Order: sequence, then structure tokens, then C-alpha cells
Amino acid sequence: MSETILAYPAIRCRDVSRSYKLPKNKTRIAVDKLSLEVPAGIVFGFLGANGAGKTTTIKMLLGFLRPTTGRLEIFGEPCDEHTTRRHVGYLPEQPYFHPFLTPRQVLKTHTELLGLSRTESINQIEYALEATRLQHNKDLPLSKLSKGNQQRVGIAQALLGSPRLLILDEPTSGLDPIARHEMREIIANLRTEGRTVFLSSHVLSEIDTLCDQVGVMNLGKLVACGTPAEIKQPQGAVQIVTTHLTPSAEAALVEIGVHIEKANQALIQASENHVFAVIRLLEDAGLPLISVTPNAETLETAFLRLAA
Amino acid sequence: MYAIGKVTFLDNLRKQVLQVVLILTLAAVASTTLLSFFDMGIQIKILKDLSLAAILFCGGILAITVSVGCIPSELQNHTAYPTLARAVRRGDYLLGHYFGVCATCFLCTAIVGGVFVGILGVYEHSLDVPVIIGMGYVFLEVAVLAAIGMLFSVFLSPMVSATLTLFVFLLGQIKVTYLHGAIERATVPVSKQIMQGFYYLLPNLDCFSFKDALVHNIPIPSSFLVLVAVYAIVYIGFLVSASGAILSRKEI
Repeated sequence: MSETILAYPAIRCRDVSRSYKLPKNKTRIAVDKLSLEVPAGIVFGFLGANGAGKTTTIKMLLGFLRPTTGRLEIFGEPCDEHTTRRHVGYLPEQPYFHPFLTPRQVLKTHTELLGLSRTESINQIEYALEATRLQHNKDLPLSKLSKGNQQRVGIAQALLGSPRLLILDEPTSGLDPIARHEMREIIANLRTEGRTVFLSSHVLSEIDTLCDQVGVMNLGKLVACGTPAEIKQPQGAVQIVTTHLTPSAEAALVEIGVHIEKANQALIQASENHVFAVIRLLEDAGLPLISVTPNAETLETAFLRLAA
Repeated sequence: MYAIGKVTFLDNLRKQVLQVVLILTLAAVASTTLLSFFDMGIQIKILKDLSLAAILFCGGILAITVSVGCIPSELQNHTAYPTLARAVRRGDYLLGHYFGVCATCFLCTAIVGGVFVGILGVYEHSLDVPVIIGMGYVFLEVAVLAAIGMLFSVFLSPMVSATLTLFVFLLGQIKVTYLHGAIERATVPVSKQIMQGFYYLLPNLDCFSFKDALVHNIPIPSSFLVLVAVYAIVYIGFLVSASGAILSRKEI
């Protein structure tokens, strides 16, 4: 990997705004002073409700739209230069290709666009077909493939050319659970290879498990950016799990003022102030400490809090 | 460019309008063989006249219909996105499409031309080289039309582009004979200048037509042929450059 590329963040947006003129001298602001840095080598989740400005931002990164103000860079190079996109693999939302082409022909076309040699082209096509499990359908016209398989073709063409940055817009859209799992594995492998993945998705569980950092857009503004743990607010409670409580231990816990749920194990919900008191009490009673877990909101509730 | 042109060519071959126009044109050319009641000399003249007109019709219709639609349809249904997300200049993207359109028109004019030359060869018992050269210039005219259609298509809807391209085609045919005279007779200086501006912008499509010379076996100076070819290449270059410049600034 080029040291020059590594010296820069994968994506840098500086005070980027994009507005549209509407009739009667009105203006619609799609992206409002977005400043964002995505370090190289991570998986970055880009979240937002419909109309929040995610697709507009992605289009500006790819040079499809020009920002009204501000500057966007990919590995230090301006996004409006076509040469910048040699580092990029892009999967659009609902990728469309000519329906008469087969997956192999689509990939061959893209290797030609990349200017790869014949040998490299063959190797890249085989790699992309294998990574997306398209070997059995590689010679069927796209018109005869399911939506999920067409999505796989979109992912496959994004992988060609070993791009340093992959911009994936809803990569698991239309995929069955097995294919979604395979897609998550592909993304995880890309991170292991040192590539950067910029992932726009509405599947929050995937974002939570896959992404190193998350950015949340709302009404054109970046309202939160950080790791999923930083985005999610801790709820000031800790869950402590032990085995069945003795009557004396239970009475002592009730006196402290913690909440107890009893099933196969005893779940004790304690505030931060009471955690050590509970742990000492359980230790004195000779009860094992199975787990101590801070409670935090889910990414979904965090998203609703930030973007609703 | 080659990759984009290849896909454009393959896509155009699947269009029904191409298949229908090609069949009709072939039928028109083949129908000249039914004119056996005429003297052979007249039959050959009719064959040349009708076939060259049919080839221009075929090529012209195809050039207009495929050139005005190929880029707008790709932008509308988003098939352009994966391509333009690559390190591909917009100008190269447009040029690839243009070459694909020209390849489509060339194939169709070559098929019709092949049938025409074949029938002519049966009648004349020889290969008529001037006719083949004449067909080449019909293709050049078609290539100019395709470039005009593509220029309009990058900023207008396909229907408006097709209408304007047809309009330019018709004006281009009468430019020298009628427009020049109209400018000469114009009395208001402003309107005269505007008309002169349009006159020089409009392509001189009449110069590509050697139908009358071919029908009546009149030789055409090779210097004139070279001049017309250079004119076509320069004019197409101007149109494609302008189209590329507009597409480069277009937001998608």
C-alpha cells in the first residue's frame, strides 16, 4: 500500500454544504456544513433517515455532484478529479447493469475500464466471482438473475481493482440471511486487508457489529460521530448476573435498593453507585459473579434519539 | 472507451427500432429488382438513386434514435453510475458511447450497402467502386448526424433532441442552396448577422451526397472528397468536444 495514501484519511469533508434552488426563491439544504474525517483502514457506518443527506454526500464524494461550498477529498486528492476514483470501488443502492450482460461480462467491462492487463483481469474476475459466490451464475444474463444475485454482481464489480476505499450504499439490500452473513464476512475481510469501507445502511444491527466508527446524519447535518459505544448513551445502570440468591443475600440486596429479576440465574440491576456494594455482598455470601455488564442503549434507540 | 463503446453497440443491436428500420430498408433496396420492365440502364439508375437514399434514411433514422437516447437512458436508470464511479473522464464516457453509436450505424449501412452493391454487381457484372466510396460518405453524413444528436442529448430530453436533430438535418440539406440566398437577400443587418451565424454553425450535409454524380456516372475530384472528409472529421470533433464539455459540468 502506498505510503502517500496512508498519510491521509480515506475521506475528508471540510465544511461541505450542498443546496438546491427551489421555485419562489426558496433553497433546500441537503447537506449543511459537513465536516468529517474517516481514517484509512476502518469500516465507517454512515447512518441517517431518508432525506438526511447520505446519498448526496456519497454523490459528492464520487464527483456526481459538486458541493455548493466546502471541499471533499479521498486520500488527500480532490473528489472532483476523475483520477481520484482509481482508489474507489462503489456499490450504488439498487445497482443497475444492462440486463443482457452476464455477470462475467459486467466484470470484464469494468476490468477494461480499470485498464487491467488480460492476466490481471482474469484473476480479478475470478476473485470477485468467488468472493460473491457467483461462479454458478456467471454466464447467465442479468435479466434471469434474482435481485439478490444482481446485488452480488454490484458488490463484485466494486471489489475489482483492489480499491483502497469501498463506498457501499445499502450493500445487503435484497440479500437473503445467508448472503447477508457472507456480505458481512466480505466487509470484515476487507478491513483485515487494510481497506477502508464507507458503509451506508439502514440495517443497524449490522452497523453495530461491523463498524469501527459511525456517523449519524439528520437534516443535512452530522449530529454524531464516533465508535458505536460512544454513540450509544450509557443508561447509568449495570447488570450483574449471579446464581440463585440465598434469602439473606436477597434481603440485603433489596435493602440496598437494587432491582432483582429471578429466572435460571439472578439478574441484578444496580446503579453505578451500588455496583461495588453488590459485588462485596455477593462475595461475602459466597455467591459466584457470572458477569458484570454496563447497560447502554442500542444503536437503534441511539439513532432514533439522534435522527428522529 | 472501447469497453463503453462495445456495450453501447451490443445494447443498440437489441433495439427494435434498429431491426425494423433495417428490414424496411433492405426490403426497399431489394424491391428494385422488381423493376424489370424498365430498360437495364434506367433500372440501374433507379437502383442507385433509391438505394443511396434508403441507406441515408436507414443510417439517419438510426443515428438520431440511438444517439439521442443512449446517454439520457443510462443516466435515468442509473446504469451510468458504476461506470462513472470509475476513474473515467466524462468526455471518454461520451466518446465511447459515440463510437458505439457509429459502430451500430456502420453495421446497418454496411448490411444495406452490401445488398445494394451485390444487386448492382449482378446487373453491372463488376464492382462499382465509386458507389462504395459514395456509401462511405453517406456513413460520414450519418456520423455527423449522430454527433449532433449526442450534443443535444446531453442537455435536452430525448424527444426534443430527436426533433432538433431532424430539424438540423433538414436545414443542413438546404443550407447552401436556399439559406445562402436568403442571407444575401436579407436587408436588416441584425437579422442578417444572426442568419449568418446559424449558417456557419449548421452542417453542410449536402456536400456528403454524391447521389446525382453516381447515378449519372459523373466523376468526383479526389481533392473534393478529401476536403469533405476533413470537414466531417473537424465538425464531428467540434461537436463531440462541445458535448464532452457540457457532460463534464453536468450533475447526475
